[in-house]
Amino acid sequence: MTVQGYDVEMAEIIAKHLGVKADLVGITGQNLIPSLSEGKVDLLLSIGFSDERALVVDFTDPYAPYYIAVMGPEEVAVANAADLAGKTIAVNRGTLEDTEVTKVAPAGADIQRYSDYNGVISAFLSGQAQLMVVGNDVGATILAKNPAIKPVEKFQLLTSPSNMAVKKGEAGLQKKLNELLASMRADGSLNDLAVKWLKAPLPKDF
Amino acid sequence: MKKTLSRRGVLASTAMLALGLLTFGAHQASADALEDIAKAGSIKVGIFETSPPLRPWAPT
Repeated sequence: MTVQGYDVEMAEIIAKHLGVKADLVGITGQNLIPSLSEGKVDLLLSIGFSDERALVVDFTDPYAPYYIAVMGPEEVAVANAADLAGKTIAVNRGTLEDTEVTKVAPAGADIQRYSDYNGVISAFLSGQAQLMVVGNDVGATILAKNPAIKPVEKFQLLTSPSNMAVKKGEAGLQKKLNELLASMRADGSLNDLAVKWLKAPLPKDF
Repeated sequence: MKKTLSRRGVLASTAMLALGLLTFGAHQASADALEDIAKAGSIKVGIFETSPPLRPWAPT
């Protein structure tokens, strides 16, 4: 099976820009920063900016939009957190989505926690849960695989764009990547990537 | 006339030397990464292995 997706395509674009090949390296949340500082990777994709991380790595400009949203069928009327009362909501246990929806859910909201995204998606598609809280990328996956379902975005809980990170002090590589992103924003190819893989154009202020 | 190095002068010289070394070091580091990538003929890109093919579920 050929692995493909937003990050895979972005890695290929970066490699082409630098005149080399892309060597994809699998990482986990635990070895995220060490993989960079120890030289196992030259570049990390899909890393959220934080002041704490900025002390140990250098970030590029954002390259992909990311947000968490409450999604559900058109006919379920939900416009804000208060409307979650009396609704069943599927979420992946212990994730950012879980944290964010738990913060705002009113008493009477039934948050059903699953151990992975397949559980969340199955609960939603089967009707076991009326709503789900997922990232825009998961929503796009569901749309791509189940075009008839068409879950609608009810409201957003959190916005946090994805950045790339390079080893601290690698100003040359950081500059090259930012130049690439600027050219992709200018010629529309970054927007094309978002539409292709996330099923939505880049936000206007991106 | 006898010239003496003031304490302030020594500190300023040391600071300038340190700044120079830091600047040089940063320049060397940035050159190294791109040179290493060019030499290797590939760039090692870290992608979340626990993610589905589309892309990582969330920036961590």
